[in-house]
Amino acid sequence: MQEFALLIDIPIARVMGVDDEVEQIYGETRKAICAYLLCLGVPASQAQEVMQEVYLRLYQTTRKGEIIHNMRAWLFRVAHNLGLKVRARERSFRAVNPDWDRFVHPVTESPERTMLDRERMSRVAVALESLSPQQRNCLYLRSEGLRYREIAEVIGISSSTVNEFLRRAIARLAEAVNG
Amino acid sequence: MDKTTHMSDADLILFTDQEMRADSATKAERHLNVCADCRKRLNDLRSGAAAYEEYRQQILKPAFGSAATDWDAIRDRLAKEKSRKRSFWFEPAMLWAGAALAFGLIVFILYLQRSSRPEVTELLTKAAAVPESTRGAVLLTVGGHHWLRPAVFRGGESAVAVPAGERFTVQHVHALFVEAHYSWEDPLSARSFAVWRYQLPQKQDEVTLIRGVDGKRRFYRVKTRTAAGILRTASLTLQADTYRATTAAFEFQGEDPVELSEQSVEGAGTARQEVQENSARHPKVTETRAGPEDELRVFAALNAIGADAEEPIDVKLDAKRQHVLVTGMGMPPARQKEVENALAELPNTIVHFNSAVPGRNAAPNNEKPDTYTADSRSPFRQSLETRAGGPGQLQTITDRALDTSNAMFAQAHSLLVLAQEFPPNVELGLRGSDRETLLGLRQRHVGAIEYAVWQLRDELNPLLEGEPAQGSPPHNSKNSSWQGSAEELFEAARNLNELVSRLLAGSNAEQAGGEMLNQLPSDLSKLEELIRAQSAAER
Repeated sequence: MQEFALLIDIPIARVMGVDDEVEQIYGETRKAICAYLLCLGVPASQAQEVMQEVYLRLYQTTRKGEIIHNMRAWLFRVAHNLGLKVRARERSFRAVNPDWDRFVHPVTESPERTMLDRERMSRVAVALESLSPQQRNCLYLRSEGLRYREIAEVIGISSSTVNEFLRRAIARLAEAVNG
Repeated sequence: MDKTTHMSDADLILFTDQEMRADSATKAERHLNVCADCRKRLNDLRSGAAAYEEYRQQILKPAFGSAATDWDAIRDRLAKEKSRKRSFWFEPAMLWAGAALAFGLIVFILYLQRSSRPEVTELLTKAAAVPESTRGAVLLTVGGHHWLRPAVFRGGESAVAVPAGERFTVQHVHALFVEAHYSWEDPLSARSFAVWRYQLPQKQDEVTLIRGVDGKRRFYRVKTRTAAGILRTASLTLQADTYRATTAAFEFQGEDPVELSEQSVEGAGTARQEVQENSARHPKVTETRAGPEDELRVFAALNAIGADAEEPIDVKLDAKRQHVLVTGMGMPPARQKEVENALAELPNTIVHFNSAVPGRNAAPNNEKPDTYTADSRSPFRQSLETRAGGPGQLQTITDRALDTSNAMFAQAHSLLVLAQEFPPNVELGLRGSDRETLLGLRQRHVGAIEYAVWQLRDELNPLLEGEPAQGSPPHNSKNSSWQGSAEELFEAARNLNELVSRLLAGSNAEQAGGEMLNQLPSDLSKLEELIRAQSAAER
């Protein structure tokens, strides 16, 4: 493989307008970021404000010409930090209230099958409630496709700790579904 | 790590998430091949992770869906931010600094214009227009191994000359490209890069101007990142003066990096010769279009090793009908190897395994529940225990019957897949020997279903004693073709499987449970009728 010496980076913002670029990234990532904020326990009303702040910071950073090498990890990290600040002001953690009526087995859709699946999912919900917030966050970010080092960067812990959080969380879930 | 030292849960999770170092992963894989205990724990952990994924998709996402803020609100804040920035620059104290900055900016823009760095689309468009006639060989590098291949495969030929022992690696890389919708025929080209990039729903581009090691030649490197699909990052290096593609790098999710580099002009002749020599040494697997007969051979090979039922394996023709794609999810490494070996010699076949646990659509809903939610205190459960001869006996019956019922359902699903993949018009187009193969596969599935139903009757007999022998009215199949009859049979098998699960693993009130018990003989009879109809269906 040929070797090269780096001359200059052309930031992505030079190819597209900063506004357009941020809007595009927003469109691609907003659901995941918003879900993560709610997962952190940020109330829905405040999650909107935090979301605005996250993308405003992205705009500022991009406009400064700083290159973000891993956009998803960067956004999750900013959302994580802002979300924790908001949560610190909140007195109580607000857990997600599952909408069980939405849960319909997509293959059979029979009431009995749905009931069995709901029972299984309710066991998962109970297991999730028993996890620490860090364990839940690691699980969520893992599901979003982040690698351990990225999760570690978002949460501010080491990769081996991410592994340990995930081990405990997944083992608890496995126990809940397998008995 | 040897046979006697078990893997820790942390290592099993690292292995599942492909976070292990390559050498450790190889050792772990070797260990899992010989250690049933670790394999079981691995599967348990994977089922836990899969349950979370299901919960996230079904419960969390809908609950979170409506909370995202509107872009308009962010745009308003951006507008305020810009106006705040402008007022800052119009401060008198900043005017001189602003003028100096503007001057510097003009110089910078002039510099950039001189260096003529175009944007991504423009770059790729220009590069795609470069003639291909002079392109020779390409060096493919994966995990420290190198292979030479022609830059472009033409006329349906798509093989890389490789020793037999390394064929799996190249086949695997080939499968990755196919799955990522990135041209394997012409991977080191701006056109292929642009086609792949264009179909991405979301992406992030980066253009870098770089200099060759000689310090003179300049190159553009276009890098596109995406969270969609398995190909997460691809970069293409183009000569700045000719826009000719010289190298490419690909990062597939959880895979070793794949690199391609054009051979130097001087070396191209040698490389072409080497490709030819390699080809002579290692006979190529030349490929034509794949058809139903190829798919059928895959089914037959899987059947021979018992992998066409109760395994999370999917077989289908790709969209271009060039390959039979065999994908497996969440299978133990040892089983993956067995499948790979069974399919190794089949033409036009690409095998790809995903370490993730199988999704809901990957296989019939035939999970074997390890625990049951039955309420042992309910009167109905107690009456079943009495019929069975005690709680222990009932548990044994439950375990066996659920296993048998799941196996029966999996076989019915496999028969349905055959019926769907080989409808009457496709079957008619098969050669005689292929039709015999198809018939053999059908008969094996029908035989397995028949045996399972017989076994189920036997296992459930203690519970059915004393029940009126309520046979179902004779069931006349609406379908004369075996394909149509297979769909009816699948429906009946699914109903019976659900009934058995609800009866034995559910918490039932006495009346509802009694009705299920009454229904069981007629559901069994109906399925037996359909099995007979399937056997009698014209060939």
